[in-house]
Amino acid sequence: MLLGNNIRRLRFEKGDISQEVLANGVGVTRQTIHSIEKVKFVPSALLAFKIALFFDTPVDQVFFIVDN
Amino acid sequence: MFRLNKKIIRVFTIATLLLGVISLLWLVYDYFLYKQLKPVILGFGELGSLEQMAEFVWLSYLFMFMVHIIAGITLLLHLRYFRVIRLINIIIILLGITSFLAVLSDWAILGDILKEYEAGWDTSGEWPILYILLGIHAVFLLLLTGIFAGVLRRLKVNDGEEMAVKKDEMVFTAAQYVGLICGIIGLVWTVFALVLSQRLPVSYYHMLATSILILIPYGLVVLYWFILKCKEKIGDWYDEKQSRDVYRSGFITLVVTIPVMLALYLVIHNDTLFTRGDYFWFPFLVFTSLTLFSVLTLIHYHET
Repeated sequence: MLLGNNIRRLRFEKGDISQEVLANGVGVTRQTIHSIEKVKFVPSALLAFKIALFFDTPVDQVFFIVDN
Repeated sequence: MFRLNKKIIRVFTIATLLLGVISLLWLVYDYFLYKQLKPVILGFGELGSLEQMAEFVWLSYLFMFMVHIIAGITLLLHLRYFRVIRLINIIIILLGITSFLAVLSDWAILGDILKEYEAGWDTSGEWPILYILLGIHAVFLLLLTGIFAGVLRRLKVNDGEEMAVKKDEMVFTAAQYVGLICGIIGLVWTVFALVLSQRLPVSYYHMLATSILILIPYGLVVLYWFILKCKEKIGDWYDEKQSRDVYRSGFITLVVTIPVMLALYLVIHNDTLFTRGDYFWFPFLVFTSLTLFSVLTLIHYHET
């Protein structure tokens, strides 16, 4: 099972937000955001909630389980 | 591609600047050493303590060699990124090539001076050439550090579309690259010294001093990173992905180095294979761990 996400889509929907802006908003590096987007890194619950809060969206609309 | 290039350019520019400053300091050391050596050698006097000081000269050329190689790569990256060749770029490339060749010439001239001194011949013709070559290195290194400091500033100013992140990853990445370079150089030197020690006396103090000197660039980057991080809470030093990458790399390094170092310990302490090999094991451990840790952290960090 993987933790998929809509971060890339949300970044564009919320006004073309760059990975740097999101990284600054949630206090991580750009590389971390990039890895989460590419489903190469599973964020902690705290970071997942921070990202959801940044987009002002429920966490289950940002992250979802991918059953492979 | 654009972002990747910019990141790499920053890492290489910082690494070149660091090596440039260290090489300049070594150049000052060389200049004052030659100034003291010249009258003694011309008058065929006893070298005394100067002989011990002169034994470290090769290290300055090692750093000089390293800075030329890295500066060459960085200059190519700058040209590729900025897509403009200015007069100053052409000057620095020409000066860099001249200075690089001069590193090899320096080495040859120093060898000649030593041989001629031992044979009792006059070496007054070689000294002016040696000083001219030192001058070429100095001009190149000063110009290089000046230009690269400017490039670093330009990269920051042109950050319009690429906003700088609060969590700095440049120093983190630069530290891994410098660690990798220092680790490889250290490993090459330790193997070379181990082989050399079978024919010539390589003392414990030689190994200790050279190992410390090779680790200086890494130490400086880590110190710089530590100074930056001192303002933050310990829990904020790494973000969660960096922490995971560092832990994973540290664990793999530990697991791999234990059997490798055990095997190496048995080989080095085997008197039929090596004599006087006992004090090479610890530098091997340090440089192997550093190389492995740096390369694994870089791989994990850029694993996307």
